[in-house]
Amino acid sequence: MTGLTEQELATALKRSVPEPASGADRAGLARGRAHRIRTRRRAAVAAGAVAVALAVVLPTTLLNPGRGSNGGPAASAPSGGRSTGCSPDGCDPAAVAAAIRTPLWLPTVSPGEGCPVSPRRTFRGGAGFSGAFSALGKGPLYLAGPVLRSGAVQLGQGGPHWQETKVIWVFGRDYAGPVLLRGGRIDEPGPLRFQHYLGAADYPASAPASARHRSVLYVRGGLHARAADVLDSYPDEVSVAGPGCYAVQVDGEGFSEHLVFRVVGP
Amino acid sequence: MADRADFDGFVAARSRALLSAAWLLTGDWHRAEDLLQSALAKAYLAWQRIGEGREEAYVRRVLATTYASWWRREWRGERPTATVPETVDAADPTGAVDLRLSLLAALDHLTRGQRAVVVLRYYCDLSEAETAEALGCSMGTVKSQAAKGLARLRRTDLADRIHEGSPR
Repeated sequence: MTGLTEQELATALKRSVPEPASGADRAGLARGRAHRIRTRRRAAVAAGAVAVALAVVLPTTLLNPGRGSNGGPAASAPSGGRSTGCSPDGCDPAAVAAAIRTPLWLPTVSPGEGCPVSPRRTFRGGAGFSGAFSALGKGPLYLAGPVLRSGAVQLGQGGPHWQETKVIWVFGRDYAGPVLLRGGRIDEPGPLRFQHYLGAADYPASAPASARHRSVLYVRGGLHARAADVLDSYPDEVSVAGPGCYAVQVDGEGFSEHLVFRVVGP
Repeated sequence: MADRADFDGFVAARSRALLSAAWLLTGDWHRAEDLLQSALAKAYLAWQRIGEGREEAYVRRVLATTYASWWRREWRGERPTATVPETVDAADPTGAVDLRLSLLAALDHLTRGQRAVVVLRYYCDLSEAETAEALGCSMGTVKSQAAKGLARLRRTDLADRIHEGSPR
């Protein structure tokens, strides 16, 4: 056994804390974080009843097939400048979302068919993970977090109407623009909602902040942050009514992709 | 009494340091963010009751106590599938990555209470009295937890790693 003094331990602790992962200035989100905490608390009081109603009435209109296929493989052109709707002081979520939004069309799965899950890949690290991690998708946006070896996404504990799981949306290195996420269950009618978390905005902006959201918008670099605050991963909580096959449509600058995943119980 | 408007400024000014402490507690940026977010949300609700100049101590306390009691967080449901160890960054020739991995592995040997005491005492530089106040326990508990934590850390390879990186 080798000696370890208190001083040596203190020095090691201070030397070992890395910069926030992947160059992400996560602390730079602080202003937005404070704003969201305030907003969430106010809205939670004011719109609690609305949230309950939204949680119980499970609108499936988003699942109606739209105008057919809306895209092929991602044409993930790197974005050099700021996105439409953004200025050096921040972004207007509604304007950004309007600029990249395409009609929602989700694939469907017939009864008895398997869930056509998106390919799973392993990243060696980064995006806030301390080591290698698995993610689903073809890019430029990937779903990481509770991704099992089978490619399924595992739910956490939930209530009688909703079950939630924390996910991490990871941006590929070749795309620097915004993404708008919407989704639903595709093997039978069922909702999928997003719980806003760090770095997210709802669309439309008038949606009650306390509710589970039909859509979520991420602007890489932050809605309220400077251009230097480039993030490559965003935490989120996805809410579903239960296990099944789900798809998220990812709209971005010049592409629209589907990310399909199978949700299993805890 | 702290003004509610000060909350933004506090978060902007102190988030980075608090996030680092949260990272040492959790060993993972995402869980660290969760922890800090929870602590800040709790602090916001109590903001007007926190004495002026006591804000950071309050948030640190919430950080540590939330971490210590976080046994039922949903993140426990996550099942990382890959076990490939983090690769050493070629741009980090000083061995800091090795030390970091050893440190995190060593901290994982501690109980949550011991880990919280170690981080507050030796990373945040709090005194025994301040640590006791932050954790809501006695100074005796802090002393014993620190001693037991150090003893456990000495049984890991952390000291070897530290001494390997020291000038000889």
